[in-house]
Amino acid sequence: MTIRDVPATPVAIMEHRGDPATLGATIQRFIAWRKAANLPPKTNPTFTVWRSERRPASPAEYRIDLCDGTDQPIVAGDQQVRAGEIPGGRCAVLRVVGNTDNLEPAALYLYRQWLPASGEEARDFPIYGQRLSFYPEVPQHEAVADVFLPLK
Amino acid sequence: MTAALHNYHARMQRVLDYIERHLDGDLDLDTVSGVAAFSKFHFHRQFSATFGVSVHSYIQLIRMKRASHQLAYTDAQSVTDIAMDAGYDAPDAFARAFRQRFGQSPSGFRKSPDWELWHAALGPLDKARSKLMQTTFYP
Repeated sequence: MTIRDVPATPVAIMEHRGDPATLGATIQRFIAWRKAANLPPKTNPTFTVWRSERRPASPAEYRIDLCDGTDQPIVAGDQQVRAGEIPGGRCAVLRVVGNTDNLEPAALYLYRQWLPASGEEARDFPIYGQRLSFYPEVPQHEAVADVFLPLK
Repeated sequence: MTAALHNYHARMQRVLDYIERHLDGDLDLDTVSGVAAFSKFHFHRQFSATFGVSVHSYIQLIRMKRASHQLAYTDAQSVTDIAMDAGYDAPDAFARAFRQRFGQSPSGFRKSPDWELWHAALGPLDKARSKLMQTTFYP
């Protein structure tokens, strides 16, 4: 667990709204878009912004943003993504190595143990993650992700 | 317990107290998170992490608990009135939610409440409250 001051990062955002069961299809579209736009994970950072709970009361309320860090302008007429930003500021950062499929335990640790005891105050931007290496390009136990809890 | 943790729990307690006192009001995320100055971008997760139940379920359970008391212990109110009190516009939506929670229809519960099912259904409420209680006792 570290506290990091992160710079603002411009991103292209593909929003997933609705049933988590269809997230896989959105991820496929996101990967295809990154290939076509020539903004792959090797050169451009990959973020996931969790706007709702992992399992909201109604699946229709599930909201997640898939983000590709780039300062290139988004091509006009591109219906799939929009330009946005991961705002800069202080964050509690928890590194997860292995089994990065499910980052919920890391998020739960930050909210259940760390935040209440820290005296810190969460900032007005959702908890998000950055994927630093990907399965199956690396073995599952070597996949790395950071979970960011924005702080005031 | 550290001062930070104590303060955090006191704020969460303030939220529970507010919910309890405003069951007839609008308990949306903006309002409830604002009670103790939590960011609405995180509050739903902070609540679940602290209490083991979502704020949405918690509010529904508390409203259902009150409705079940009104059904079992008073005859003054009709089932329709009780449904409105619990925040439902239509009695059948209330009946569906009630049955889902307690395994009985509201009118069935009024006639002969199955307290065992009722008690089990309200388990998450007791558990949620005990999370803060634990920290206020010193063995």
